[in-house]
Amino acid sequence: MADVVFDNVTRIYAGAETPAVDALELEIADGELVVLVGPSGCGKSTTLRMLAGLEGVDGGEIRIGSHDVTHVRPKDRDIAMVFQEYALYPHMTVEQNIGFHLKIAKVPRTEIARRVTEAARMLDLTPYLQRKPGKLSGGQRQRVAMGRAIVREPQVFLMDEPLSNLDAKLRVQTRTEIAALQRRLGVTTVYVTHDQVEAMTLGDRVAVLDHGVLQQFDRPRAIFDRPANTFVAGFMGSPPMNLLGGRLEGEDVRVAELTLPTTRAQREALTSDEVTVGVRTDAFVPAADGEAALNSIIELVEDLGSDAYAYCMTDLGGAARHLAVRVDPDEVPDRGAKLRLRPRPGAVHLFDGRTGDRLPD
Amino acid sequence: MTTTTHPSPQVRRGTPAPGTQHHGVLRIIGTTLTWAFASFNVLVLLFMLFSSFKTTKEIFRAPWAPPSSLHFENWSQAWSNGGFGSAAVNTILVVAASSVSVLVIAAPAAYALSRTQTRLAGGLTVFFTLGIGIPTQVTIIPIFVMMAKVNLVNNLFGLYVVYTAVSLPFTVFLLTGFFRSLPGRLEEAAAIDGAGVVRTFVQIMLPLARSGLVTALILNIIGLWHETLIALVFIQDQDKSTLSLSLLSFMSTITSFSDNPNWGALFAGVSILVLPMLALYVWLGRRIVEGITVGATK
Ligand SMILES: Nc1ncnc2c1ncn2[C@@H]1O[C@H](COP(=O)(O)OP(=O)(O)OP(=O)(O)O)[C@@H](O)[C@H]1O
Ligand SMILES: [Mg+2]
Repeated sequence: MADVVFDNVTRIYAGAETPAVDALELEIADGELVVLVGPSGCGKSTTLRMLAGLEGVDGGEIRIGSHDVTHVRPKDRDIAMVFQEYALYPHMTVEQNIGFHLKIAKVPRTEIARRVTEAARMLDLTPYLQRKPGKLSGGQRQRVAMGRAIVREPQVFLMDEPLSNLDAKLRVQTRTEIAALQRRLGVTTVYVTHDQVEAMTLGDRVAVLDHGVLQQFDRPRAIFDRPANTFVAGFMGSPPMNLLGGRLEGEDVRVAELTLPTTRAQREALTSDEVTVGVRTDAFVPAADGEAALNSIIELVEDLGSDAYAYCMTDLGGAARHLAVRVDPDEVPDRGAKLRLRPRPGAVHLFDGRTGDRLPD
Repeated sequence: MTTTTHPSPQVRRGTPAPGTQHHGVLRIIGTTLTWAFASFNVLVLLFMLFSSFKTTKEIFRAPWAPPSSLHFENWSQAWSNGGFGSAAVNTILVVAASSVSVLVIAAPAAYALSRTQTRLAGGLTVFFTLGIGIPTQVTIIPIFVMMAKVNLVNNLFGLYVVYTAVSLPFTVFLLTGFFRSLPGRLEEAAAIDGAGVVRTFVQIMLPLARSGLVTALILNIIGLWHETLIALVFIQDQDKSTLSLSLLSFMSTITSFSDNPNWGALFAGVSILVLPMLALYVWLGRRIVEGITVGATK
């Protein structure tokens, strides 16, 4: 087992103008499960494939357990990978699929049998060992792909959206299984997903990427509580944080009728008087009469049973804007109802309106 | 493959999807053409088989009727007089050796070409493809001169070399396309599993390409089995002749040196040439259609 370091790693595809991954710095601790998350095309797979050795590195250095593997072939990196499409060998049985690496590594036959049986037992694959992948369900194939990775007892597990081909229920179930398995085996794992719920629930730490640039790398809670910029704020969380355009007037930020206090450090960090105000859906409270508020009209209500969200149209000094607000699921308001909302003090995130960066607290 | 048998003799035909009925006309034309083509071929085959058991007189009197009595002596006459016995052995040897050699050379070449994106590989692919476009008639004299220089004319080994060479372009072309269609993910999985290039090719890609390889094999066997022009130019001795050459000379003996040619024996000769290929097709033809990559990916 080993730690993994991306040191200023850049990947520029042939013919591309901008890097797919730009000067990436990540330090992943031994045994840690790190989730790479971001929108489609942000460079998650590229990052993972560079770590696997399937993609060239155009700049920087990748280290596994303090060995520089930047130019090492995949087979010499001691990593195992679970592909999104599983990439099982269709002409081999489940048993042969799982044992292929061990066979190549010239592990004695009895030892192969023992480890394959053990992995199959762990993944409930024992009844299917003699089947070919074509005759398995999607969930079973996914487990075979996992089995192929875990029999190896590698330094690092790499997983590229391993659950995206499963239905919603199986995905949640398999997610917990993967988490439990990873904790049990204690193998350093890099896990790619575009699903922020998966990222928040699975990761010891989460790395948020956008356009090949690392936006934030922190514990899930910290990413939720203190998003580093407006991109992270808008990407993580479901529904995402509301971002409202405001303006610095004196020592306060004004958003429509609302005035929000700022600290001196915050004012000094600003590059202009434009401020983006971020408010989570659950950080709104009803405003008392006469209090400054955002006047909103409910356009749509989403009642999920344990949670309910009202999607409102609000007037921000001439410009209409959508707001997502968490409401009491026991007293769901009607469509068309008017709400007077104000953010809970202390639950407001302030970002530089120009750069999008978070202002100091 | 498991086939489910229904207890009821009436097979239920599912209701067609809405809108698909409009293709009815096209479908009828297509089905008619297919059946017409298939029946024509079957008729030709039947005519050949029937005639091979008839006397010449009967062939002309009732060309489409089944033979009234089976004249097996047509077959024995063709076999012994036509020299088909030794020719069959020669043909089987040369065709088998060449079609296997072609695959052994073309499969790795095609795999390499399908997986490298350099300009050189692109050029090489074009170069191989060019070979398909140049008719044998154009190249056969230069090839003959070259082979004569190394004493490989009128020689079965020489014929094998030429057959292998002329079959390469099409086979490489066919297999390049086939390998290109195979998912590259599997090679990445193999690389991570620790397989080198050779092992990946032999243990992963070749089994996946099986239906492509069988297709190429069958097409080459059939093409070379019937090949006449090259054999005619390269082989002079009767004992080195191939089946198509024997048939050719048998045909000329029958038609030109006799007032009363035995057409039945000629058809028996044709049957000897055609039937093995028919059998091969019946045996392996289904494999061409059989897909094996099912389940490789989601
Ligand atoms: N082989 C390639 N050649 C050129 N450009 C590529 C190649 N592979 C990926 N890219 C580009 O690099 C960028 C990052 O791609 P990547 O596959 O890493 O995205 P991703 O984050 O995994 O997205 P997704 O969630 O859709 O899988 C994209 O803009 C993509 O178009
Ligand atoms: Mg991807």
